[in-house]
Amino acid sequence: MDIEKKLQILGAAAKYDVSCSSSGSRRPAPKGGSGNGVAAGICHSWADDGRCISLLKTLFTNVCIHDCAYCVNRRSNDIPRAAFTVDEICELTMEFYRRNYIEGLFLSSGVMRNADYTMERLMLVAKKLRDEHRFGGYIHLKAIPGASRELIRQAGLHADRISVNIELPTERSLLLLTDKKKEDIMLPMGEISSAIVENRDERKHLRSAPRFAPAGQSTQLIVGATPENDHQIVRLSEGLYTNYGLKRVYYSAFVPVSNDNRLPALATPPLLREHRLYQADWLMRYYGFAAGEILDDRSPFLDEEMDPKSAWALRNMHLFPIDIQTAPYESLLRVPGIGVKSAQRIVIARRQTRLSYDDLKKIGVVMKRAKHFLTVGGRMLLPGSGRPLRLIRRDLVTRAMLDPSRQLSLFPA
Amino acid sequence: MSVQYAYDGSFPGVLCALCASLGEKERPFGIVSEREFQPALLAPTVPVTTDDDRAGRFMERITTVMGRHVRRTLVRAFLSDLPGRELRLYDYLAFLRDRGPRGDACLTHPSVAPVRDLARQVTVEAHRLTGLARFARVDEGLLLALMEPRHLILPLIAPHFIRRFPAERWAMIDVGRGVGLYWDTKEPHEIESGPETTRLLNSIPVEEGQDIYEKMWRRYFKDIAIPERRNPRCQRRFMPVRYWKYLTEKR
Repeated sequence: MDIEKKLQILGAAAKYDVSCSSSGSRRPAPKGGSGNGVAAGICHSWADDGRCISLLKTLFTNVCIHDCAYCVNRRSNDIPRAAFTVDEICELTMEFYRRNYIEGLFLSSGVMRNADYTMERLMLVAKKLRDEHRFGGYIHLKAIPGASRELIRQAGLHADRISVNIELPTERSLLLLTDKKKEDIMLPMGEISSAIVENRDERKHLRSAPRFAPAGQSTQLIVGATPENDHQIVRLSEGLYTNYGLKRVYYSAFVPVSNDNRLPALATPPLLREHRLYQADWLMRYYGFAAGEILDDRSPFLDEEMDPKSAWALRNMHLFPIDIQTAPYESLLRVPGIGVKSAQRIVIARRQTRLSYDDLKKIGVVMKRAKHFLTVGGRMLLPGSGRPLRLIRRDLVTRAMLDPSRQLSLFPA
Repeated sequence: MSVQYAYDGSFPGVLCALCASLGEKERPFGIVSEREFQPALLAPTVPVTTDDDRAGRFMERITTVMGRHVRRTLVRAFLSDLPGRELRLYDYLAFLRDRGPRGDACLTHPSVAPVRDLARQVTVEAHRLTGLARFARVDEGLLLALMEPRHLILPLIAPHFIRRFPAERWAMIDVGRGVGLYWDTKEPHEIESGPETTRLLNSIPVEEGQDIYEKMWRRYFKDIAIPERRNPRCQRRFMPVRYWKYLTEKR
């Protein structure tokens, strides 16, 4: 089979992996080689589904010994199978990279023969790219559950990021839909996480020590394939960020890829739910929210009608309004309609002048939402803001997402 | 009577014009490059001679007094290459002169906001094109990228590509402005419009689809999208149609 045909099969098979980030690693181009890491990451294209393409995202092989019900590459699925050679992937990566199509490689794989054999192939690709092709660009490798510690450690020495996908948020779902156990996933995740911490310590004492996965670790959860609620998912993510030091948790709206009766029949992927989970995730990573503030056992699902920060603010009206001129940065971040950028701008600009309604608009604050939560010099920003809850709620609802006509153009069947 | 300054269109040129006009009491009627120059009925024209030393000293003074951030804003807003930017730069600097270096933090002030906004637009486009520039292999292994950016971002993205491909021979051409840059693995060379540019432009393989990697990339680009999630609006928001002309996968 030629390389073109293989890429058709294995590139397409990798599309359900969400992550494509190339950020978090700064690396100069090796002598005589090509490629560097840019800390902010660079997107090179956007696919027809609007997702950014930053890395050549492909599987090494779609042959797999596992039979996970939600996965398109499951053993029992009747599809064409292929496997790259190590050299073929290196060549593709280098030639795509030279044309500036990509920022690097994201290599995942089905499990061929056994976990160690597969993990070794992935590691060898990264090693060859670094040593022989003198490639300094971004490399993201999947850690294959069940692979030996030593192989994963070696992989981390060549890669910028390593990830293990959790996919299903609870062990019950895992047991129902796969032949994997919780330890298969959490064990390597824990090992990678401690290797990263050890490496950071080591490099404090010895600058020349080789770096281990400098862009950290990430994972992915499938949303809507199993009955977990948003509260369980958000709590799990919070645990992964605090206990495992993960850089990112990705959420992937379940796209039915089989008629297995253990899986729900969905007309369309739950994209709005996925979107709300990302917003909640952002609140935890950039806005100083705890999972318990976003959801609790009594209301375990995110409000689809409005973003989770607005929903939180409505439940906590006793904390508002706050004064634009004096409120600390952390409180500004909690106002619906104020994002990280506008909060930072407010803090800079208010030292120079008293901010007015128009100033806030210029700064980028969404006044329709924010006006209900802010005062200037002890007075509400506008007459009619801070009105009864019912009316505030009306301003917080994101209509565009609920409007059926828009929904059609966003997600055609 | 307020006057109109005419300069040669270069960055040192505009610095000399700004330096001269800031020394006067009155706000100038205009600061225009010779390219855009049109005699004004009511304002006498003062031609500005470009003096690199003077421009350098002026820039240094701005950096020491106002800070590196102001310098950066100034450079980037100028590279926006939009008509009328010079007078906005004048207003910005005049405001900072009166208000002091902290004036730059008056984010919403009418003298500050437009200039910072121009600088931001330029930064955004420069970052975008570090991703969207596409090289094609032409004669003798040379990699060539063509682009038509809205702003003059070539000087901003060149260092990125020099860091990225130090061992490759490559060139980038801003087709709309007819300027470019050639990296010969040791040092960069400016390409002015002229026979060299024409030669490079003609060296692009005429026949499409000769390069197997271009072909594979196009196919890959189609395959990587999840059909159930099609979202062309979102795609265009991040990757505006005006860039498609030079995108291998969208051409």
